[in-house]
Amino acid sequence: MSGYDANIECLPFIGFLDLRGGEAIRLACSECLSVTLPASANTLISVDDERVAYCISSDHWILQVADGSQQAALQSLEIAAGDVSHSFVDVSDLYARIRLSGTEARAVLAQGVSIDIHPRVFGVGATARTGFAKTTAQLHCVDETPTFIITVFSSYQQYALDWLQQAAGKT
Amino acid sequence: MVEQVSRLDAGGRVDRVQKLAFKFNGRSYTGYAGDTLASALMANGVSVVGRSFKYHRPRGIMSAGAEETNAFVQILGSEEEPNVPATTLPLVKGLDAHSVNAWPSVNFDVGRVTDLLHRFFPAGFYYKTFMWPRDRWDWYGQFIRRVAGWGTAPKTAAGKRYEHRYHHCDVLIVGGGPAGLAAALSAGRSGARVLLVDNQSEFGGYLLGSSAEINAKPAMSWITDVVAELDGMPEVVCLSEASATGYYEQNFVTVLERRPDKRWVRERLWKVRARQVVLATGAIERPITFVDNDRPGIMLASAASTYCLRYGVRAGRKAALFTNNDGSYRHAIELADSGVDVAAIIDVRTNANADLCKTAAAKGIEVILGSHVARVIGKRRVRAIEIAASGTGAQRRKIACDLLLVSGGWNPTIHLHSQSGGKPLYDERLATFIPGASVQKEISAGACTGHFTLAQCLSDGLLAGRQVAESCGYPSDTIDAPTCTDETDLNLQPIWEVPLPHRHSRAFVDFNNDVTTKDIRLAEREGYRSIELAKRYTTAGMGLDQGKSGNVNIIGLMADITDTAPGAIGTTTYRPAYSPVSFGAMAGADNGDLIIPWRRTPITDWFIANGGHLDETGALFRRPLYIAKPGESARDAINREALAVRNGVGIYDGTPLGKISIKGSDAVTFLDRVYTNSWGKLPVGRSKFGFMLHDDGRLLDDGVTFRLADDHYLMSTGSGVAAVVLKHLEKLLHCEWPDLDVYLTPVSDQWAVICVCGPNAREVIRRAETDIDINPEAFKFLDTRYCRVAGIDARVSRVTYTGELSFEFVVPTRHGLNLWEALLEAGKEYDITPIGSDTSMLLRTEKAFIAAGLEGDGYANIYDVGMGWVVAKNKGDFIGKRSTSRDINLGGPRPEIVGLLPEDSNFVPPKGAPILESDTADTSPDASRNMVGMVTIGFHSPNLQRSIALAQVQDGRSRIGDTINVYTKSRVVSAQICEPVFFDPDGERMRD
Repeated sequence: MSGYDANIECLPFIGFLDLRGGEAIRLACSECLSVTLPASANTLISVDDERVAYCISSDHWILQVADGSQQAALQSLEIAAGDVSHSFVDVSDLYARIRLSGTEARAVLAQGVSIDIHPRVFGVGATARTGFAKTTAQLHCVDETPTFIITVFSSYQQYALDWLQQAAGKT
Repeated sequence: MVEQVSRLDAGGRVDRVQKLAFKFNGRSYTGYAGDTLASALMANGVSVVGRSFKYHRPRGIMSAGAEETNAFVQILGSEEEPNVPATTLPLVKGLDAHSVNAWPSVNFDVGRVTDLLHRFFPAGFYYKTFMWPRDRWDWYGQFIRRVAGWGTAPKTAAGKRYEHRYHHCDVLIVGGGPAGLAAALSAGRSGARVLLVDNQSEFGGYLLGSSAEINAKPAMSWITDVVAELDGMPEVVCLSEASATGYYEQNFVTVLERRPDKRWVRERLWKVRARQVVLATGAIERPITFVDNDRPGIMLASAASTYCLRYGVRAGRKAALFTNNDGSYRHAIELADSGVDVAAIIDVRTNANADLCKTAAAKGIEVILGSHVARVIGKRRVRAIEIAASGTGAQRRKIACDLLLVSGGWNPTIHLHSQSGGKPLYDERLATFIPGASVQKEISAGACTGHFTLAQCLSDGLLAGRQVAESCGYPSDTIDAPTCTDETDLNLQPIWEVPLPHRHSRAFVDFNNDVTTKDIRLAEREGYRSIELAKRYTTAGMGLDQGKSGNVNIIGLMADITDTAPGAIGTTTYRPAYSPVSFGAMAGADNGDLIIPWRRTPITDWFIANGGHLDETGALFRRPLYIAKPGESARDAINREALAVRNGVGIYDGTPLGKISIKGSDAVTFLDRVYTNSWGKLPVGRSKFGFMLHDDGRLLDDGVTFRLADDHYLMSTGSGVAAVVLKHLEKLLHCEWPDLDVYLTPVSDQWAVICVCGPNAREVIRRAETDIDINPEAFKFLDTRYCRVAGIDARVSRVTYTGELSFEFVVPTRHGLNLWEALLEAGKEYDITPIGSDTSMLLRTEKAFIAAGLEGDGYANIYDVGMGWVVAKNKGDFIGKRSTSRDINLGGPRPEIVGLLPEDSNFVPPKGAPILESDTADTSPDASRNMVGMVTIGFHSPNLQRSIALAQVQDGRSRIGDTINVYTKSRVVSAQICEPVFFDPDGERMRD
């Protein structure tokens, strides 16, 4: 059974920082890491392949950084934030990533995601935290293939992988 | 092999090159690609295709679509499925199907006896007959179930899989007939995202079996062009064999696609969210209610036309038409044009369209006005009919025919409109219900609005498509409506019941559930005048077909009986699903291992490979209950593990524990408010046990919270309540205390937790090599330190769930398995023993460590479970304080946690077993009403070499030493109430 034209691949752990706070945190992040945190929920700003800032809500961001750079980034952020109310937590192992790519990737993803993922609405650079199968995921459309990075809580990674494999008709 | 004796020499849309062999009721036949099972059976001259549900009367094919009321079959083989309408089942090579409701065969069915005794089985028979005696209900149920019939559920899993798919679009168009296609064309050209669904195998709707013309060419030519244009539009998705089955809130529509594009997918359930919906669902012809109107060979007039023109099948050799409207004349004429001998048109009216009468006469069809069918001759197939003058019943004459076409008018298919919230309106002119005002963003177009001419359908569709596209922001040019064949108005004269010739004669209003006009009259006489009540009492409209063709006749009849207008009677409620949906399609991928999203820790695979007996133990984690050696029983494994922890060393995967990072300058204030004890004096590097209560003072959760930095705490929660606790805390922060500078971050999956516990734990840690001093003086009970162990950065804490000397390591998830294996290696010399959660539960029972979810039952408070020492007396308010104080102030006996030592030391009191006073003589189940408590957990303790239990007993703390009885289904066992802590009561071992 070849299934849909979609490849599914687990990605290695990467750095993730959970950032909470107000507008001052956005400035701090911009100053010390040269990353502008997006202002609206379900949007992202991608600096390069490794550094991506996802806005979860008005005071909550997930900042993706290169693996190994988490502690240095956290220290810089703590210094830049100073006494301003905030919470910075290394959550690199909280999340696991799966890459779904192929001309029929949307048809596979649409089996478990109730939001609109049509390219007019959810094209390259789009992101959303949403229900995925029976768990929660951060979706990120990274190219026009299309390729999606599906980030789930790490204890759900095998479930998400198994679910995607069957949805894609691979098992 | 039987030849296709009723196949016309030419015509139809079947592919005569592709001959397909199939079986029905064990007999071999052939059909063509493009046939349905119904058309193929008809081509082979099969007239009896099943038996009716209640009276087991022989039944033939009634329709050519989803409204079929008789021809349901069971598909056999790898894609077994019960109760599939043969009229919508595409013929495929090797199809094997058989009739339902028939035993031993459709031609000789012993159930037929119920028809002979029909006078004793009126509506409500079951309710009146099977009432007494009450204790026989189950026996009756088995009997009725055997007799009831219909198909049987498949016993094996489907060979292919089912799929769900979410889909969003600007415009959903339901129905691919002329109106739907016109709407799709109009909306599609605007650039809107369009989804067009149709339940037939080809688009075209009724035009697939019609001689109508569009733009002076056969209508199918126009259909082909439109479908080709739609297929070329990138934003238009066209699905055939796809039924819209339900219309829900906010334009959410479910669509069942029966033959998806992927060969491994059996059915696909689309969950569609549309900005606008066009309902172009067409209309269904309705039968006429006359004596024996269910005989094989009686068929809807439009269906006979469809079989002739679409499938090239002659439904009979000699036909007659019984009608009350002009629209049906066309079908008689089409049949005559195709070479079928049409003997007569029997019309209840006297004012039929003169031109149509002339046309019919010119085809050799006798038109008999002002008459009705008074008798049907032939049981397994119509052989002749007897007609009589309407009103008088006189002028009887016999007409030989083997096919009786009936047309009692048309019912617009308003099911989805009604499901969307719309209220149907009664149209006197059409004598049927049409859509009322739209409630959601939905427009009805074409025949489903009562516009029955082709020209009206096309112009309706074009307009609707343009309107909905524009409302979505896609303006489009007006498309001129094509020219069409002239069609006459129905000019219908409603007829709800033809007078019956004899008091024992029957006319069916619901063929599917065998409901007759007499049943409706009986219902009315017994007070069930509301159509909703009559429906439930008689089961009319409640069958597989949901009364698609018959319901309006039932409403009309009830109106006649009660001398009311049909509009005042109203319709019954239309509910999803419009057509049957298989359970497989509902379940989709949610079966097998994917039915629950099992969560895993980094150690899960190790457990699977090493004898772990995994089960769901909270929060969807699948954890080992114990890790058995080959040939070892569960009890032996648990005993071995428990002895190892008390006497040597064990290792435990505690990763599923909930973990919440708490940061902010007000973290202490927050903890003081959510826990019962005080947190102000906890230094960095120390941890503390806390108890959290609900608002009502009942137990919510307990666990250890660590102070990692001045303004940073890490809270541990129970595995199963991690999400509940987080929601509780977030709600408090957002709604009650938005002023607090506190941020919560759930980090459960960030950390793997591995606990080494037992007298030899310290030696194992030393062997694994760590960079901190773990001597008791330097690293005390409840201390927490950052360290390196086995070369891995970790945080280690002196906390315990077993009551033993314990070291709990917390490492990033990715390192969890490495640390686990390193500690196993380091502990080899000490025979380190991995333990499961059942063993852990046993060990905590020996120590009477309270579990909020077990010892707390939604009534017990923190004092009842012996944890009053965790309540700070001299601090401010905390969640649950008032309610806890209220319990104390009210006084009186409370259910208190105590230990139990059963008299029989091998008897393990089961969880939840009731406890009664020992002098209670009553051993009946009712005795449990006098219970004074219940067992919360019980185990056989290998360390104590006897059974033990924790229990909730009324005023238990003052009853230490008393004897009570523990009740189970099989026996009553005496037990002595004792102190709950069975092992190391002073807690010296864990503080070592």
